Amino acid sequence: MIVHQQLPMSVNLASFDFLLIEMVHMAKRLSEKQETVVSNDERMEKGYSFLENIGFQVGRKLAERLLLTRNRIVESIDVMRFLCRELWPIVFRKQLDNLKTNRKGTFVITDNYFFWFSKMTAATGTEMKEYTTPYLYFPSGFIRGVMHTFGYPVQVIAQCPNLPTCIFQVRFPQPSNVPTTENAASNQPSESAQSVSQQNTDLSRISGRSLSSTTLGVNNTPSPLNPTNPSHPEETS
Amino acid sequence: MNMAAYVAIIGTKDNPVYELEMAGGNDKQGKSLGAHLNQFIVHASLDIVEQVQWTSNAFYVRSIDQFHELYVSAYITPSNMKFMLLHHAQSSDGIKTFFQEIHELYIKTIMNPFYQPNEPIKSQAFDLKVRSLARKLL
Repeated sequence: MIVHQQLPMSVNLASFDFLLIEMVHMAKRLSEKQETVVSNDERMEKGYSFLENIGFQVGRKLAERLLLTRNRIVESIDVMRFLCRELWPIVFRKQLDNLKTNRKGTFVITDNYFFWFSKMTAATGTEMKEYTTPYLYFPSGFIRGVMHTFGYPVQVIAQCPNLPTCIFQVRFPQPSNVPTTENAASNQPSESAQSVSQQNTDLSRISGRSLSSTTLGVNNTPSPLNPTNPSHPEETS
Repeated sequence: MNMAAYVAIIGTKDNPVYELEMAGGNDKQGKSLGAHLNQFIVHASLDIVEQVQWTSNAFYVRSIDQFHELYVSAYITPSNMKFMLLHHAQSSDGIKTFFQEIHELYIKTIMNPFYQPNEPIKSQAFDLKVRSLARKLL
């Protein structure tokens, strides 16, 4: 059952908007109760990571459900294609505006009118960043959950430079022989970053597929799931 | 057409999520294997499943292995959950329908907010439904 984009569905949308608002407020209240944290930022992270986990669960389950009607996805490129071409219109009711890749496993998704934020108005620049940051945890968890269904433990970083525009960076785990200070592969929940910084680490690429878990012997790749295709998507859709 | 069958749902870390043993009517032949052996056979064919899963993008990968007179059929979901069936030689249409119905049941289980994927499925209702499907389709 595919959701029709033309249907108004105003009750669903309105209730989701309210739910998201209240979830964010609750997460903020929870974060204020934390006593053992050091700084304000850390407190915010801990409090809001619960939001990100909710997004993660929702993403996983929704992806599972939507994949029922189509064939299995075998290529890693098709994973991004599914996310951008099929999932995005269904969930966010419009197409993606831009998809970029740096060919080292990072994708940047730009949406110029992010639907879940369409009812928010912009305040001044810095205030806006502070206010919209909490709302970004749920969508980034959502995307992370969708990718997790396919077996990729990605890291998602969301930013919102101008209000209706949102940018999501999706980082696929990179196996690397050189130990790097910035670990690009992580199972940690996503964070929302204040600036875009592309990490220029010397990463080696994997080509081909591993058929069993014993060949995935490279250090920095945590793969708690059964091996799926470790080769990165190399083209934009 | 109710033969002995063994259904298993295996998760992404090779953990069994659900198992069902269906005894057939003609169990007294003396050739029926113990329950532990059923699980052993099914798990032993997981390597083959992992090989085969990259070659086709269908869900149902039909009969992938054989052990004496028992056949192992597999169905792989997009999230890499494996539904396996251990059975005597049977019509593959019935088995395909069976797997599809179980897939839908599985998705309904996932929609449960208290259930995380990869956990064992302990619901009685799920068990009853799978039993009745097995009786009807196998």
